[in-house]
Amino acid sequence: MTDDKVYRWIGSSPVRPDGIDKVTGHAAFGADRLLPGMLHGLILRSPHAHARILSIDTSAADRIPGVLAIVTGTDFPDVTAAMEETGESQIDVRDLARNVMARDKALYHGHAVAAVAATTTTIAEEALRAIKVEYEPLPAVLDIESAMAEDAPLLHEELRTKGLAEMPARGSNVAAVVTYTRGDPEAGFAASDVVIEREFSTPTVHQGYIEPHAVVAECRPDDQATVWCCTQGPFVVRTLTSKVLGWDVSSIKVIPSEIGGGFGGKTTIYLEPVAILLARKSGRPVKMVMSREEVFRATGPTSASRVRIKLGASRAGKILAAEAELKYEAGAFKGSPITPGCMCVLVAYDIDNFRITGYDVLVNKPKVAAYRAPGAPMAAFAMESMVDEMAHRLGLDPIRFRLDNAVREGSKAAYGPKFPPIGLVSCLEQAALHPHYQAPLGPNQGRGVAVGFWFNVGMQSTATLNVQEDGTATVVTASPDIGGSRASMALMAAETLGIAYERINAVVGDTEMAGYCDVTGGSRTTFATGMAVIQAARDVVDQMRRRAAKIWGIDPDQVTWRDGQAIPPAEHATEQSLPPLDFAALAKSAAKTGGSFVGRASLTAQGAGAGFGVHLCDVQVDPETGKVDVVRYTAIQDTGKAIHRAYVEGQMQGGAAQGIGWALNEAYVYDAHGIMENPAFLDYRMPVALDLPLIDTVIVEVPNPAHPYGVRGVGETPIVPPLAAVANAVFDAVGVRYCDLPLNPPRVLSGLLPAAG
Amino acid sequence: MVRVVLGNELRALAGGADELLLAATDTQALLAELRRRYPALADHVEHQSAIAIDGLIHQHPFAEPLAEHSEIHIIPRITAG
Repeated sequence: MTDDKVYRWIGSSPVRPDGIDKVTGHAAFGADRLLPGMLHGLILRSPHAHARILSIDTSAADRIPGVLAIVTGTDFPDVTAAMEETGESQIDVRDLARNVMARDKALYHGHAVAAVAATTTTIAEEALRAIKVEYEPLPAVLDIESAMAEDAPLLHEELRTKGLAEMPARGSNVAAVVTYTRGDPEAGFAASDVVIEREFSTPTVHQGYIEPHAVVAECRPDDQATVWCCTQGPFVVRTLTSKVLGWDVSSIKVIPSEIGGGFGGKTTIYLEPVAILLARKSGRPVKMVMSREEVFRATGPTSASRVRIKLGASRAGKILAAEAELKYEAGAFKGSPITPGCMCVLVAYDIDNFRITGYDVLVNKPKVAAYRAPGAPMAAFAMESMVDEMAHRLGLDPIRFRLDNAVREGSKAAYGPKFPPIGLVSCLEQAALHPHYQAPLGPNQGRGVAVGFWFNVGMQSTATLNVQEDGTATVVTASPDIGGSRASMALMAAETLGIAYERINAVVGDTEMAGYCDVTGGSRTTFATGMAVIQAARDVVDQMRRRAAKIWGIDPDQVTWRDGQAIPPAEHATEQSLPPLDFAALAKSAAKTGGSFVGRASLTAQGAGAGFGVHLCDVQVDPETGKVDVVRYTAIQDTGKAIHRAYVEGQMQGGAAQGIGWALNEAYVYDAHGIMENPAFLDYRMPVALDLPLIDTVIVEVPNPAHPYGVRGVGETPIVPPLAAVANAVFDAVGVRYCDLPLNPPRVLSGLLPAAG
Repeated sequence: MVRVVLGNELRALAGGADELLLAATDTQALLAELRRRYPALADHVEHQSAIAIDGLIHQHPFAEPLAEHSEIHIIPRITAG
């Protein structure tokens, strides 16, 4: 099923409105902000992965000329309330505050313990060296097994595991256990002709956004702060910062800069409250910019994982039972994406009997943050590898096997409800028919298939549409433009108003200029903020219809809006007495007819449409070195209606590229003391353009019935399939099933050597 | 009556029931009825859950209309990435 409605603007790919600024260097990113008298702030970070902080002596640093402010944990209020509503969800503010600045314990190498503001970065660095911190090093837990061991050192002695039948008496590093069950898994396995079971692992990986975290903060004597920062959500920065500082939200104004990538990693805060306190203490604006090393060591990567899957199927190719056990690292504070991981692991298949168990496990590593489809890629790596293996064991084509078990409209999702219209079957059919799937393979080459899923979300969005007297219009939202949202907003406004895309200027407002918007994340912005823009545009259309009716002296209900014009009823039009009034004419006469037109909408978007994707991957394996090259790649995805096709394709390609990096090279490498050994892009190997072929895309458009134009969401699903698509292709090439990522040359070679020997 | 289907993780909050039949014409009334009968479950729904109404997920439902035989699933709220 595809959307065959004809639109004038939607589905086109016009020039992006931010393009010129970005290619000419005019776009201002977080670190570009300069203010008179601005100081430079730096963070002192823990050299230990786990240590008690016995004392912090800042007196020597304080005496250094040019040092104007120092803050430590004692400068922050002691946040005692744990879970608080933040608009999007409940978060543990106490944990957040203690991640921003350590108090009694440093919980990972790189954990902030103090901060300095000085007139130059050189002086600030000297001050950091002069701060004396007395630590009592504690044993660290650096992986899931040691964290879950009976006698494991505890990160938080007071933490009790949630999700058990009874509240445990003892502390634990397991923050939560989640379970989903359906039917009778044991009976399903007993009825199966083939049962397979394996355990998979993925390492800690980072979002790898090109722009490090950056903030400038200014604080007036009356404690009114202004913050410029790169973020996925200025309102969320405002909310979280106010909670950590104990201030009213109205005391903090957040102005989002252009953003050089986020992928979920900029949906939380690190520097903002620190910069405000330094600015308040010094009475001067303070800029803080993380180094790449700090980004790796101290901002949220995503979880390392261990996932065990047991799968049973009939000889005819029907999956009869599944068991999945997922363990995700949360980092130093609870809150890995274990719940979405559990909800996603079996979601693509219609299975009557299953048991899913998930564990949220604390380790002495940085607190994880969201990363594109949080929790889903690791789960899909395991499940899609097993589905591939089952198809192989049964002698079935891997796409045919998936089609025979795929969920479709009306199927019950593993997390409970029945699916509304979804596009998994369409994507699988497109994959089977694609020339890529039929193309012959060369020596040492193999082909892999994998499926991915993400829920997509709605949440709060607000939009204002201001009509200018020359018939142009400005759309204002507070959704930072990470993936082309300004173009998408302008396209939807143009389509709704019936005027040219070029006549609309879409801008990103701050927390005082614009109404509330949740973060740009969860693949929600084109769906939810777009819905608000459409409603704001409809508001303008309604006002223009009423204005035209007033001009004509007829009832507003008699006026229709078509192709950017107010049209009078037929009897008047045929008499030529009332020619249509177009958008520009109504805008031009606004001052004389009742004032300018301003459309407004504020909503909590409901009914986000789930997105499925299917990826095809061809690899070539060098049997002498173990190096894997991706030689052909096709991403097929149900995006719902694609608003800006080139941006949609770009999202699909970008997600696939990040997933391929996760599969082949990326990993945090830790030493025995919990110190990351590769905190730079030279050693943390992300794919660059030269590493990848052109990623072909196929957009499947099964409209989401809950959105006026059928939008689902695009950005997260495409990172889900690549991990397994690559691993399945490597299996097809060399006959070795690799269960641990990344598939870098040493690992691949170690798998090949026994086979060769 | 609408049918509220509870996953195993929520059944303890509803006296072990795996589904509830409740009279409600919108989600606000549904929450009020849950609060009357199972306050802990209502708290969970209000602060931590999304609701799927006949398959369509409502992340923060307020007064979403319910049909005569709507099937309701209470699921974890998905956060953004």
